[in-house]
Amino acid sequence: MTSHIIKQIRIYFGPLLSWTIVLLILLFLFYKSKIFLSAWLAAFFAQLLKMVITSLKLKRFSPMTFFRISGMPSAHTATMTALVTAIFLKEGVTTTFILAFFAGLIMIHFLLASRHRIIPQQEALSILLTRLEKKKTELKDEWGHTGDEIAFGAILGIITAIVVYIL
Amino acid sequence: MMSALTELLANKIFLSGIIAWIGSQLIKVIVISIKRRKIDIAAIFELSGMPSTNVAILAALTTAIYLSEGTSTVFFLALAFFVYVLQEMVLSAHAIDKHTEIINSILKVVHQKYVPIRKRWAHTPAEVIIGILLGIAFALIVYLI
Repeated sequence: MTSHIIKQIRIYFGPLLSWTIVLLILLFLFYKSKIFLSAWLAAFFAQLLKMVITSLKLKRFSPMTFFRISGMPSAHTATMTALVTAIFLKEGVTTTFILAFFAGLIMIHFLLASRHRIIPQQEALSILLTRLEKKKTELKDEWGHTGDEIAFGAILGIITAIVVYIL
Repeated sequence: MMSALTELLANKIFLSGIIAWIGSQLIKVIVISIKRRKIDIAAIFELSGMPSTNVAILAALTTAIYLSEGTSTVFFLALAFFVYVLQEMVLSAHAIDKHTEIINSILKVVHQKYVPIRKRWAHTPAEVIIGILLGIAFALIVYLI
């Protein structure tokens, strides 16, 4: 039992803890830059909204879903759109802005494509596992985002960047 | 806001990126329509196939930045991102395709009625090379006009 709990903690907090520490150090270093702040806050709010929406869906408060990598809305898209909007508000139409814009487009392509790649494989592996273990087994790992999650993430990112620039 | 939009549309770097994006998706529609022997408009949202859109966009952007700024910081940033995307499309996507093939062959033995899952998400080297050439060509066209 204890070993199981330790394993769960390692799975959840091993990458997450280091990642959270890196993000907090970066926030401490660059909080004065409005571009960095809007991207950071967009990611934070997106994860917060993910937790709220997942908790409402499950009908119980589940704080661990703050660290979900998939679901509504997309934090990746929110970060990237906030970054692009903030660069536009600061510099106008520059080469940096255009590069960031197209990098965001390609990132959205990867988010959509990785879902299309991985989800059918998971379904097929679930069928195989059900056959082998003679009981219903389903793999439910999360990959990528759907189109509406990406759209809401983009709206969230743009709003965050504009609010950071107005304040 | 309108002035920003006109500025954006007058920017040659942005134009070459957008033209590479739309142009390569249109070429994708044509290639798929020829292959399936009927006009397939839905192929404009196709994520894989001939030619590679991501590679075309980034090749066009990198070329356009080089033509307008020379070897500036942003050019090397674009180049590094280009190399990363190439690696992602060519190497890691092939691993997933290989897994799909293995899963399909196992499924054929275990589960006779199962429809094989769709193969081939990665881009072949030919698609990538044609994507690069198309991107460079689009950027050159935008700069020469």
